[in-house]
Amino acid sequence: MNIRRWFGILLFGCFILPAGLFAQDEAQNEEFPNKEENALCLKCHGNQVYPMPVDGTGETVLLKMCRGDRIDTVAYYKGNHGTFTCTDCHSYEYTTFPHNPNLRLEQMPSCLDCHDGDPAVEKYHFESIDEEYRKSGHANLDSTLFSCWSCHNPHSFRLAVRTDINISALVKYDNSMCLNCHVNPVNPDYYLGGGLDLIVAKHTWLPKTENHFRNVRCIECHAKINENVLVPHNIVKKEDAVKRCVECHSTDSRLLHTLYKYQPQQARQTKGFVNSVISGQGYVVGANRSILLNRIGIVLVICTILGIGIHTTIRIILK
Amino acid sequence: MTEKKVLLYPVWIRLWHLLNALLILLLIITGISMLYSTLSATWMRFDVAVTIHNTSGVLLTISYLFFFLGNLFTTNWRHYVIQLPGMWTRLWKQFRYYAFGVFLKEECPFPIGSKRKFNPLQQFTYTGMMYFIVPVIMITGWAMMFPEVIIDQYLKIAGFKTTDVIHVAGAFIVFIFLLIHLYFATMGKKPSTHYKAMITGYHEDETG
Repeated sequence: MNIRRWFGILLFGCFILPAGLFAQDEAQNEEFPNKEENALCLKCHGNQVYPMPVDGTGETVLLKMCRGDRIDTVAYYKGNHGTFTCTDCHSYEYTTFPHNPNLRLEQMPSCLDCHDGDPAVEKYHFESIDEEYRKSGHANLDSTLFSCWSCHNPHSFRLAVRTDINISALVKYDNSMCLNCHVNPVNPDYYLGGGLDLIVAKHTWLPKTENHFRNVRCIECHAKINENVLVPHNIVKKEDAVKRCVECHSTDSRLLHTLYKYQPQQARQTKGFVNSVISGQGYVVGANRSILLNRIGIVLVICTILGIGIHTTIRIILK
Repeated sequence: MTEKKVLLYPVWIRLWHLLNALLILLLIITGISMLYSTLSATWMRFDVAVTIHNTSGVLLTISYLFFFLGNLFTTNWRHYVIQLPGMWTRLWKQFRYYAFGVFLKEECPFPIGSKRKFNPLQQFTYTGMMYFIVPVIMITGWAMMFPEVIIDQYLKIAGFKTTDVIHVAGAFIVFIFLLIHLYFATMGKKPSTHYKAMITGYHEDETG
């Protein structure tokens, strides 16, 4: 009996368990069939250093991989382009190493080069996003310095807004795109000249500044809404940014057309709260209110006024 | 025959009452403006309403502390102590008087004098307002001024939402109280009697 049990454990340990692990590995490979091919690139670009052969000596030296050429492999496979092979976007010539220096001059594709007219991504309205972007202040910048990729890193970008991600995580993710340039001295062209403190200082007119920063995205005020686009891309001049509180703090809050636009329509008027889609994860005074409490309150106020009116009338009549 | 008058409302109470009335009015007006704000509502800017509301709220807290300390260091607190035995009977008597007796020219069952400043209904509502509703509104109001102190979620209920609901419910109660308070103040010998007493401090001793 004992021998049978031990035999069973041995069988499980030696064959079944590793088979399970391999199956998991196979599943991952099935999910990312590009992994093997990409490994050729990522063994250098996924690291901080790479080996460079020294001409004619047969030896190699370790060189530092430039920050811009480094790929976060974990973020890459989690991103929306994670199923791509590197050569889907980059020249096939990159498969030879050392790379031909002229390849640096290759024109990189923009979003629309792949997504224009693509029925698979029709719901994202890339054409409208492009139209909105062209109206925005960002479009006036030098296109060699600024493109879609300046905000949406093609090697890690993920559609945060269309997932079940919670609002505060979404706000953090989206705001990091803006802050990455505007409070980062590494990007002198867009750097506003100070850190987060400067951004806070520029918004002191906004009550509870930091609270706003934690709960809404920069684009809620700094971009023009287009109902056809889920995330507004028409970044406006600072003079044209939203400054009226009621734009958000009202029943017809613009947050319903921006930050909470993706939430299902049916969730918008449930749970007994006006704009309950917002009150699910946050609470905006003016935009949210309890329907039941309001009704009870208004009925009681009206009854009180009526009661006073009737009492006064009887007093006057019987005087 | 000259009426015997007693000093029911000393200066500190009158000043507190006046300040309290002004602040409550401002809080109600700005509160309604914020609660029912729409894009087209232009009668008060949201940020202006918020500033006035917050400032009035802070001042109301100071005024409340003044009232609390005033009660603590004078004998005024006695008027807010409800005697539980027979409370419901007294409340009913006073209610009946307001509902019917006043029309039938009956004598007030609990006349006002130096020993009894409030009738049972007044005592019950004033004590409830000043020692329960107003503190709840002030605490929830302060919490919303500093939302970082509010627990995000408790038992799957958003903390800020709950705080706001309690605050607004309290505000409705205060609003209704104010309407009734202003009306019942007209039920003296003349409609202006109680209002005058609140200005001069002196009230006719109805106990004789």
